[in-house]
Amino acid sequence: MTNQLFCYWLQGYFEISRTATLNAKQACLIEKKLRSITEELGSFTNWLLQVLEYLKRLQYRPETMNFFLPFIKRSLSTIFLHVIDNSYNTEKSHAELKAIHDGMA
Amino acid sequence: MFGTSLITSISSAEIKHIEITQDWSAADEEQLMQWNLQIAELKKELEKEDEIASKDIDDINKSMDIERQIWELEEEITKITCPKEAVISSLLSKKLPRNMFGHIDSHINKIKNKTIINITSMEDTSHKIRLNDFFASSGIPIDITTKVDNDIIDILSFSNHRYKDLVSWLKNPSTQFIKKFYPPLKFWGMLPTLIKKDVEDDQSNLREDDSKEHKDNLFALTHSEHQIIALFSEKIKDLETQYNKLVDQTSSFLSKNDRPRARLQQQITQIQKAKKNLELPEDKEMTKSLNALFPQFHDTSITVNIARKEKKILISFFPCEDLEGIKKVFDAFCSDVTIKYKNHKSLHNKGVSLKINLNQREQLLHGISLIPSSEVAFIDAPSMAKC
Repeated sequence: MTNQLFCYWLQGYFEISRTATLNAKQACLIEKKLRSITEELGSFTNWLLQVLEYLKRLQYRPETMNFFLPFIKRSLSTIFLHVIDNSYNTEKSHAELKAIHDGMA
Repeated sequence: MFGTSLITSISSAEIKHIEITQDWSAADEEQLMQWNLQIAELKKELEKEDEIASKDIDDINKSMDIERQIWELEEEITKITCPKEAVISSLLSKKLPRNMFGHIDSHINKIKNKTIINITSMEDTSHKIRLNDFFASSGIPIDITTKVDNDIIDILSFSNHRYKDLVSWLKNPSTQFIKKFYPPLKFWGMLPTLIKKDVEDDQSNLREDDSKEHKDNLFALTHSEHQIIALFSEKIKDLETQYNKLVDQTSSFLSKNDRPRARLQQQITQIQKAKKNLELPEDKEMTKSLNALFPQFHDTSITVNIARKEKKILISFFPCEDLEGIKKVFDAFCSDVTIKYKNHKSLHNKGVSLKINLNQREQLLHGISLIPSSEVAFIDAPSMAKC
């Protein structure tokens, strides 16, 4: 798996699970997927791995997980908006694409 | 004062680097105890110094009071030895032109046996010549000196045994300052009327002045006055002795520029600083992290100290009212966070203070470091840009 594919996967995971909180099981799954990236980790994926390791160290304290979840979601959305969407030739505007990523469209 | 040993050990009260995670040791406890003892001893010395200072202030107040008493007694003696004189003052004020001379004040000096008249002059050029001319016609030897201060004052002095002669001369209607000397030009036409009026005034004044005239004791001190003066002089002498003694004491205090008070205070401050550094060293790393984490608190001072004995991190935000916002962040990284508003007594401002277990310091620092600094923290990553 590449960094980009991981981002697609995580985006899909958040869209499908529609979760407002993060639990230990979900965090473990995300970490497992993250570790399956075969290329060198990007800045976002590297940071996410560190966050997940930190959460594990703190035995997945709900307060800590819920504190980081909005940062993870916002950072992923920013990656799509500024990096991934820009790599495609599409007639859709940034706003439309953002609405799709945010599950609004 | 201290012995050398204490002074030397105080110099060891330096701000040393403390490993903030290092446990509170028996050596630390020993050091703290020693410093507490030193502070107690220094404070005792300081109290002694303050006592000395307050005694000296008392002495200064006492000496000022004595000075006042002496002045009052001297005034009383002056009233007896130099009583005010009203007759000559009254007569002269009628004889001298008001546009040239002001206040007239006279007294009898019983000790020097002289009558002294002080006349305030309105001008500073010819008044003395005019006064000399005026009094020369009386035939009484009068010494005139001029004192120029804020006012020009002519001091006339003559022997008391010519007092009655001068009074008689002044009472004489022909004794006229204006008539005989230099009347202002505009008065020339009015002169006959003025002279007539002066003569009438003088005659009516004669009767009035007679009633004011002093009796036999005008020039000599009575027996009882001599007794009062002797008593007052004796009292003044006593007071002066007391005064000189107090002044000697206070001036020796004031001349001591090397009073140890400032030095003692400095030593106490130095030890207290070293004590604080030992007990509550500053956590600079945490302070830096928190300042970066809360950029919106640009007007808030964030201080972090480690209570080594208690094994707690003490964090203070001042001024600050966002307790909930701060709590949310610290609860994410630490358990058992104690947080409360703390009012500053003198500044009427609210602050927030927190207490966290020291063993959570690393996880707190690590957690804070993982919070992205901005929304676009990862977009410049080259590997992601490839995506």
